[in-house]
Amino acid sequence: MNSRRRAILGLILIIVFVAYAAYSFTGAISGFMEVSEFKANPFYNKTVNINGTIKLNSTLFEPEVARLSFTLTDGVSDIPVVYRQGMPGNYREGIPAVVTGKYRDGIFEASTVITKCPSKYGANIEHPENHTEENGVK
Amino acid sequence: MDTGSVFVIISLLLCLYALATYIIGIWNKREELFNSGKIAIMMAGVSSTIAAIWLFKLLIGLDFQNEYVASYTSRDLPFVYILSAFWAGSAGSLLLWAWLIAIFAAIIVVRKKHDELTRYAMPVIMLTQAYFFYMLATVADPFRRLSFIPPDGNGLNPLLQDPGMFFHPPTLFIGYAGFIIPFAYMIAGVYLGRSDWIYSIRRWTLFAWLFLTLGNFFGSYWAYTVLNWGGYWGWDPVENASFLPWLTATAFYHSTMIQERKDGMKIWNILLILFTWELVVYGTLLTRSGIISSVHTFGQSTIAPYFIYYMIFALALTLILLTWKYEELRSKKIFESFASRESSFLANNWLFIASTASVLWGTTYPLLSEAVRGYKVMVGPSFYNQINVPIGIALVLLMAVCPIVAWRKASLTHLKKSYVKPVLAGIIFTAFMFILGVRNPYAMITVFGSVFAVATHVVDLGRKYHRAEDADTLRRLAMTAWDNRRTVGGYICHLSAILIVIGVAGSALYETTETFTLYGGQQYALGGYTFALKNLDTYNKDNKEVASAFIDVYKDSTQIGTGEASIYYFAKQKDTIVKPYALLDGYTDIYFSAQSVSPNSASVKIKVIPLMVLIWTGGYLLIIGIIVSLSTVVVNRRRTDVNIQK
Repeated sequence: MNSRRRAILGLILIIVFVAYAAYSFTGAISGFMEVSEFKANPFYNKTVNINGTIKLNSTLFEPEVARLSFTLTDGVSDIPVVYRQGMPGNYREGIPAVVTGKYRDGIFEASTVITKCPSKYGANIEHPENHTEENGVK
Repeated sequence: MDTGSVFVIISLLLCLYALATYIIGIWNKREELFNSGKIAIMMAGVSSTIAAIWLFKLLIGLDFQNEYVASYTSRDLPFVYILSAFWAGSAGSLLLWAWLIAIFAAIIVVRKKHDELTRYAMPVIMLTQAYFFYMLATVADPFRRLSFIPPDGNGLNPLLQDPGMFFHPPTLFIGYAGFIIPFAYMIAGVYLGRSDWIYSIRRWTLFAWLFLTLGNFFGSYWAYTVLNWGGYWGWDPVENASFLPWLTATAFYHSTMIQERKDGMKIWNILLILFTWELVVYGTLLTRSGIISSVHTFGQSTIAPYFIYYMIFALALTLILLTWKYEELRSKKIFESFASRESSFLANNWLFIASTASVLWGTTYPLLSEAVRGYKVMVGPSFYNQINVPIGIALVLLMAVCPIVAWRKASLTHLKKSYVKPVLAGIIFTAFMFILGVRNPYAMITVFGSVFAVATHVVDLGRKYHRAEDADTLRRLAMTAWDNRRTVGGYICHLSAILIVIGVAGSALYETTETFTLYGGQQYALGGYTFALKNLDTYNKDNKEVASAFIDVYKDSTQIGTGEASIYYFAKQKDTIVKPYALLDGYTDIYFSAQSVSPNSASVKIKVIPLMVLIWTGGYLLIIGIIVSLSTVVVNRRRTDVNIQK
């Protein structure tokens, strides 16, 4: 096989692959924003990731249908969230969370809820005297 | 200063001393300096071991004045997780890394012939090791002491309190650290203009690859059985981070065979080891960047730039040396025809690289987007699946073609003669499955490719059997297997890959799932099974409160088992986690995850997942295959040593 034919074939394969990958990629990326950023400029029926904190005393969990509802806040704006796949790991009120999903009729339908508790990942040790109890709910 | 820090600094000094002796020894051709360097390397192995034991001692003694101990343990933590807290945090896992490199370097100077390649490779290992110990002595010090003594530690993240935590990180780190050896020998080889570095470290490469594979599998199994992430693989950026070097290492392992047989793809192999090592460091960086939120990441830290500097250095060093020695290292032309064994290896490498490129792009793009445009994005799993599912299928088909295609150039008659039966076997089996109700095109092509691949492997082994000379069938079989044990090892790996592909396809395409609220005395049906709530229970276990629903599973009105779907509550962290349960019936997984457990009912998500078990079976088989391959390396090295002497 001569090297020119090989190079052309290789190039075609690469172009096809990159084009396919680019097409697939544009369908898979979604924006990542804070609650108030999203509320200032909301868009509907498009997948988006919203970062915020789970508001205290906002959780309603209906185990019979595995539906979790809560309010995500960034201190400025709030957004109601519904998640229909049960209780995500490490869920607790008052901790930061990233929700991925779509905004419909004023409610955010989340397909994933990722919670993160900063105190558990590379924690800051607090001095016993100024230790304050977190008032999160179980 | 803590005793541990003292040993970290001693290790650092010993590495720097060894580095200096090797460089001066090479420069001035002074033999006695190497001996002195070797002793320093062994001593660094010992002192880093003492530092590691010291951290274990602090953890076991719950010395909360140590910041690391206070961050990751607490008084109520079970003993095994106190031990595994060693690698739960950034600084501790970095110590594990550095310790492993130090041990590997010591093993090499003790066991390996101290030849020219080893002498030139050692400074690379020492520089890397010194860099790690420098980080441990400065920005990532696991022995830092607090000015006060907290009454109790913060405890370990409940998700990390699982046997998976005990196996997944260390195996992954052994794999990671192991790749410093091929990288260092590659640098030595390029510097010396020698391509035979590849044989010198075959065993190390396989060893590192074995542990990288194990690490990925343990991680996956952990995700499936504990983390309740809804599956074994989620294209999480940090999962990708450990998958990326595995992809390039696998590509490397295939293309070395072309170098061995045909003396080709030599530059390519150099680049593959460079990529693998860069991706290992990149993976380490990603878990510590603090940008990605995942169960794996360690939160904000200051050490990310150090890894970036190292990556730039490793890249620049390799490329400069390679440009300098390019003419000496390049291969002659070996590709004569598309229809040849050589081309099938090349295609294999292209597919692995395409997969690597897509995963790397998807993982890195969010970081680039934020850094360059200030705009945060996330990449969904659909991107990875749309690219990697076709690549996986293409790899199976390629695997089917490869074993019996001729080297150099296959003739059309040869192709026809060899492939008719395997292709027919594939078609017949697929038609049979179609009649049984398998209609999904992905499932059908998976079935066809798998049967086709198994058939060509059997054909090849059959040919080898016919060449063996012995009247007795059993002895002839044993002889064939023994003489071709490297091929056999490779084929076991191939078979395991086929099982994994079938497992992935079957579990993804045929899973059924539903959430039930279970009450006593009632029956619920899903996926051919019937479920009944046996009882509800709450009890204390170690440092957690467990609320469980015990569920009887029936198939055709015979009971096949009882599942325990639990919710764990950790009072210390005020944290609730779901502990799923998987029950195996034949080849089908019945997977329970509790949503809530109340005094008279429980809400449980039940999944019936066929063929899931093949993923784990394939994983174990892959390990066996790699071990069989490991056992044969010596033979091949001897052969190549002879070649070199000629």
